[in-house]
Amino acid sequence: MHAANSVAIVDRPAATPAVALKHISKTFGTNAALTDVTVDLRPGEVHALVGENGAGKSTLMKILAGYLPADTGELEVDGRAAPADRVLSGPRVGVGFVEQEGGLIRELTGAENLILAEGTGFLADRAAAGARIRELGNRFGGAVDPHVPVELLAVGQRQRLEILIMLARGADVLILDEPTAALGIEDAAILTEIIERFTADGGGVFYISHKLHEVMSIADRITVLRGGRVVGGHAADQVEVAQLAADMVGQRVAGDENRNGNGSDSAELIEVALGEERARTTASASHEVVGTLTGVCAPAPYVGESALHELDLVVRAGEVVGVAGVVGSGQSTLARVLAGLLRPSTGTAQLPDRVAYVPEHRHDDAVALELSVRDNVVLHSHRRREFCRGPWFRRDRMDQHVEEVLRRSHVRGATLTMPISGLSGGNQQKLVLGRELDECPTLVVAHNPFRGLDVRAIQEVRQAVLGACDQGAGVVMISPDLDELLQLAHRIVVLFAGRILGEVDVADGDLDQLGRLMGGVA
Amino acid sequence: MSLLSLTHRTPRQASFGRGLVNLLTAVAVVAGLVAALLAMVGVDPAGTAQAMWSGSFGTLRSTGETLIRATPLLLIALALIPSLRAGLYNIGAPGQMAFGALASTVIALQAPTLPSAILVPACAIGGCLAGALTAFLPGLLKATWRANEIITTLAMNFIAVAVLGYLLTGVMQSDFANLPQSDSLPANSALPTFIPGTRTHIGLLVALLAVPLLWAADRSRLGYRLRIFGANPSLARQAQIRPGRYTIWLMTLGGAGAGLAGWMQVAALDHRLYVGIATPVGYAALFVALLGALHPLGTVLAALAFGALLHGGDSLQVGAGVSPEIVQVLLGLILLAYAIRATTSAATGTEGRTRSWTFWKRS
Ligand SMILES: Nc1ncnc2c1ncn2[C@@H]1O[C@H](COP(=O)(O)OP(=O)(O)OP(=O)(O)O)[C@@H](O)[C@H]1O
Ligand SMILES: [Mg+2]
Repeated sequence: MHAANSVAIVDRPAATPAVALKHISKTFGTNAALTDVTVDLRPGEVHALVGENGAGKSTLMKILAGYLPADTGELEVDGRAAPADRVLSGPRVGVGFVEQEGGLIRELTGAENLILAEGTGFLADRAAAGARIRELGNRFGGAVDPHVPVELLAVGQRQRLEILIMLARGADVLILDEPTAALGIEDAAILTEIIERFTADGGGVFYISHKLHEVMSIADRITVLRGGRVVGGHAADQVEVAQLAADMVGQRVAGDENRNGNGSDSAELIEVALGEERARTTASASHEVVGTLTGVCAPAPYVGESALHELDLVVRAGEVVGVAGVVGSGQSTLARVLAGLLRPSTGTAQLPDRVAYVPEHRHDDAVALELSVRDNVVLHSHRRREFCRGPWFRRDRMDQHVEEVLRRSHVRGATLTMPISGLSGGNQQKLVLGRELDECPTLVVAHNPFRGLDVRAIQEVRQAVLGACDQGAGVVMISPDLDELLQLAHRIVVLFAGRILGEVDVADGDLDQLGRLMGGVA
Repeated sequence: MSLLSLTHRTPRQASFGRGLVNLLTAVAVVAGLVAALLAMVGVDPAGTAQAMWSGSFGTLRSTGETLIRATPLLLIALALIPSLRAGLYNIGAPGQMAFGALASTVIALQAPTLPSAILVPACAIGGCLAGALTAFLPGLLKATWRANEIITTLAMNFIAVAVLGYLLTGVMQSDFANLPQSDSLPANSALPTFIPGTRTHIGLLVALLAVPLLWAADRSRLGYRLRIFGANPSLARQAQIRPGRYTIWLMTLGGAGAGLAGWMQVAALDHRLYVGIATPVGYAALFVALLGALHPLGTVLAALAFGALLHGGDSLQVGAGVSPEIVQVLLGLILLAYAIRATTSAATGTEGRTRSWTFWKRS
């Protein structure tokens, strides 16, 4: 690495930092996840951490929260030394960590989760616990019903609830790991509101995100990590998105990177980061239909999500159909129907035998966390005749195939036998995408496929999706992020309260019309 | 931990090493506790331990008795491992074992003149099928109506006891006994023994055969699907691994193992059927599997240890003048210590994901 990458620490005289991590290093086996990382957080500020997938952001935060031990380095909380080299039996006092995938126990209510976290269960008073959550919700601007089982809440509500529970436990440092990755604009706005009130109250926030524009608007300071090292430190009001993107990607010097650069140079990636890049397939949609829904009604899988009413949708080979709409308008229900996991109560769904499905909740539906990378990759392909000898697997051939899928989908830091939980969030997502696109599907259903991906990975995934289109697949892409859809889709249908309100052709699209449809005006 | 919920790490993919550490810690703590207890009531702990040891491993004969105790525990535990790994709690081994023993008894008594080479396998198959059927029903209920398997298998245990009681005080009661027990089984239904000077029978070999089978299953397509099914049912559905089918198969497999154990118990050891034939063994086997961390080798060790404790306990009264019930206390404490150890290490979250549920919500 380059020592020449001098780091401009922005000096602003301030009180003792709320937390300071000094010279933290951490290796997993031979993989150096963090090398001599020093960051701090002042009361009342939002400090953003950005960096590519696998840069070490989550690992650093897990060390801060006491979930992982650091190999070397020191930690100070409120100016006092705190142990960084051991796993604590619970989260570090005063630190609330909202992880990438959400950490609440799904079968319990918010109040019960609070009680469990505080360990006072023997004399549990749910009403009092619920009242505390309510009170904080009102104070910070994000009310959630604390007496409903978590699994019945929508993504945004779950997250808000988790934050409120941290606050109820007296956190004055919040760590938000890609909090907006799965949120729609409305939920993201509420989150911003909570963050603002929390920092105004003197709290500090570590904020991890791949969305650089969002980072620029919400953060006070931004630290860039690359390959486990700090490579940039900026005040948010003195830096451009392009600079951040360049820091993240680094200079492409031969041999400098352990990531095999595939020709996409930084300029292009920066464009992607800026949201200027438009990628679209050259293959025009054919007339061959790959999936049809006719008059489909289906019940919602969770509270806060719409059931489908009389929905018609035709997907043709070679096209990307974007599904837009306010989160909770029936996107999850639609995805499950298309994936063949939810049978319509009325109406018919004509779908291919196997649908490639990238689910919205990665840990719940897309991977088996405690199983190996190999087991997770061969989910569909384990049926292939060539991998079997009688009832037994041919490990050699299978492993070759797994390596190939990992390479093609640019998963980094993986060995075949490690549990998939050892991969960074973005790399897990890439693995899922690679696995699903692997078997030449004719219909692809991707719900928030870019969730947790860095700019380069987004670019790679786009290419893969378009590649599938060229091979004759029809793609349904669901996303709360309209820009994402506009960059990839041929046409966008808008869901509202479980119905398709209208459709916009992206090429000669009327964006105002799109906005009106999303607001429920047909 | 709170009363309202149990945080519980599903023992699915528990690692062997961790399981061993848990087990050893539990045993050490419990040994200390029991020693204190014995000292309190005025018995020499060292002498008791000595008596226990020589009772279970002192002579060839006593080692054989320990192995006999361990055999059904091992067989049932190994058959339960796949379903436990998948998060299915089949606690119906006592009932399945009882029905297995019943079927074997009926076959042996109905065809006492068949040559041994036919009668022994016939009894084995009969016992196995009966156990499998007993577990098939709860499996079917779970697969079709999501009936909680803990409750349905438990119910089957009561049914088994009732059926045995009815038959053994009625049509099957021996003419030569006032007790509710059957006639003696014919000699040619007995299992051959294979270590001279002991009662160790070939059932042990049958049980040990399951160890390599389990190991191999991990590398098979079926084993893979079970692994996925156990780790993430939603993922299994996407891979078109039908949960219902696997639920039924896993339950049936556990039942088949228990049925075989019932056959061994009646045909190799007791040579007659009685009501309580399966009760202690059936439940203990579940704990053997858990103590063995759901690993085949760990389970072998756990079964051996349980067998030694059970048999050693019986010889205590003679050896040290201690009531054999001390063994029950010992086993209870080991389980408790193990459970606490397993729960706390899960709660510190050093590996895997902690799953939890409230009892009333799980189905
Ligand atoms: N438990 C683990 N075992 C082995 N390696 C690990 C483990 N956790 C993280 N790593 C490795 O450490 C590196 C940093 O991972 P980390 O999760 O911190 O990345 P990240 O910056 O959060 O990335 P993302 O944006 O994808 O979430 C990766 O190479 C990852 O494979
Ligand atoms: Mg991460």
